[in-house]
Amino acid sequence: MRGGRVHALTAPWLVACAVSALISDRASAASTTPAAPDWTSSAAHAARRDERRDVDRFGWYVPDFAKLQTGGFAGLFSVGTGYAAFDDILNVSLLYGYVPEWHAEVSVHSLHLTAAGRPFDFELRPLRVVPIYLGAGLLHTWGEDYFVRLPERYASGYYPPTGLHWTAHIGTEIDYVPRGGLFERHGVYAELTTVDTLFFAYVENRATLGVVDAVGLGFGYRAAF
Amino acid sequence: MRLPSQNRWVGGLQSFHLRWIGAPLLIASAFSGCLRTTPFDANPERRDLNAHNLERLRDLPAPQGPLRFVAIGDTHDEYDDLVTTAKIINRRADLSFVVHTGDISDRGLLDEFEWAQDALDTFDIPVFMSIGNHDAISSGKKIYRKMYGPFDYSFVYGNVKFVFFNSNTLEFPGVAPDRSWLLDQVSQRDGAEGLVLVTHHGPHNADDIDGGDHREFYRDLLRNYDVTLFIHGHLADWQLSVYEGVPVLQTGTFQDVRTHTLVTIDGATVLGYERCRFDDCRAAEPVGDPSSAGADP
Repeated sequence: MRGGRVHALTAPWLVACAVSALISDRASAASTTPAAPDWTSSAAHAARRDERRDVDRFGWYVPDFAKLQTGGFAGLFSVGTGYAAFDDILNVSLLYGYVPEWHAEVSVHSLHLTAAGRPFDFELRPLRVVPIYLGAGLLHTWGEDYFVRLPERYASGYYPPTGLHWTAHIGTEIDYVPRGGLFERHGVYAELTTVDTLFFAYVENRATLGVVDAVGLGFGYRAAF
Repeated sequence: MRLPSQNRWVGGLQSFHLRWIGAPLLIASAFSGCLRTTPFDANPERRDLNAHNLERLRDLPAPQGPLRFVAIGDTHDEYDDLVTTAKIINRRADLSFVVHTGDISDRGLLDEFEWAQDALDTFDIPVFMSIGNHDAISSGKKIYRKMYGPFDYSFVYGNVKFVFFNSNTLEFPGVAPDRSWLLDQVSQRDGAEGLVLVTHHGPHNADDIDGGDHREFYRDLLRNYDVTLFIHGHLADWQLSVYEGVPVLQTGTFQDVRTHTLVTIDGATVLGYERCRFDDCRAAEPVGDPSSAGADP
């Protein structure tokens, strides 16, 4: 029941974040995108990158970054993409994750939809550092043991969806900013992620559980373009 | 011949690789033990705990006189107070083991099972599990089967036969309860005088599929076989009642009521019950018909 309430609170917020990100990108594209994309290392483009962290060259509908990640409850191997809005202050990502049977004794496929706020950054050229960012998301898995819609044999509200869990994360990222080329930044990041059930178990059992029990470490590579 | 921009790109990439992929990978490898790939894994550290605890029990001397044990259930994600309860129980020397009526998890995640077992490991006496419905969702069935062994099992100790069985019909439609196995178990006492059934659902209010007849099956089982005591969990309230002439102990949801029960039994006779909230124990007697009040799956 507890998890169901959390999902109900989180889902509208995530949808709002995603919509606002798209609207922001659309507005940004309308005002700043040149008529003919030029992603070569022209001086104009380099200067543009000096002004903005996220130059939307390919249209608002083209994702702004791709990710590879391991851990963070998103899979042993995960890959995904996402959009940056408000000049990279808000990121919305979708990661597909896989855990092979030899690792977990079951094959796990999952999707992790996250929204993250990245309001702080500083430059140490050619690096850009995002010292801290915070996010929340929904982790979805599927298969014969999981459901999102409660099977009909159960009374309404008997279980929260087993295939959906709320997550939260905190991370840090270091980007290399090339002066030209296809990519705006190459970043490596580390994240600590928690899952609803684990987080609440930690909160309710401070004597027997430590915070390290409730969080999972993840590492990833983020290519912004 | 490379264009200047390509030189910058390639040079930058090499530099990037050396500095900013190599170093983090080294750090990542150092912290690889903290990497958590998924909450949905099904590879518990501990295996076959019911069989292991049965070996421990058989290594203990048989009780001289009445047998006294602990009944508890629906601990879910409450570990702190379970450890506190274990410490209280460990101070007593007259208790042989603990029977747990199931639901040691809430969402069927591996971490919940491991943490619950960490807490159960603080009991000095063996703990015997019965699977609960919350233990059978997500990957819970696979995890439980590996951690605790078969869903249905029995043993004889102190002139009493204890039969643990899976009654989670909605999570095992068409499979649980295994009626033929259960009828075999109650028919053959294996030399014991007493017979105690331990499961998750009560006989009078067991969850069932539409049109199912499990409640009638349990009613007939209690009528026709000489059951000494039926112990179950699943529902929030603690309750001790009589159904079809058989005492029925509803352990109550420990996560809510922090209650465990001490049962003293001598063969086919239950000598007494003590309802305990931590170390505050009070004698109790079976009263009236069971009620379905306090339903909280």
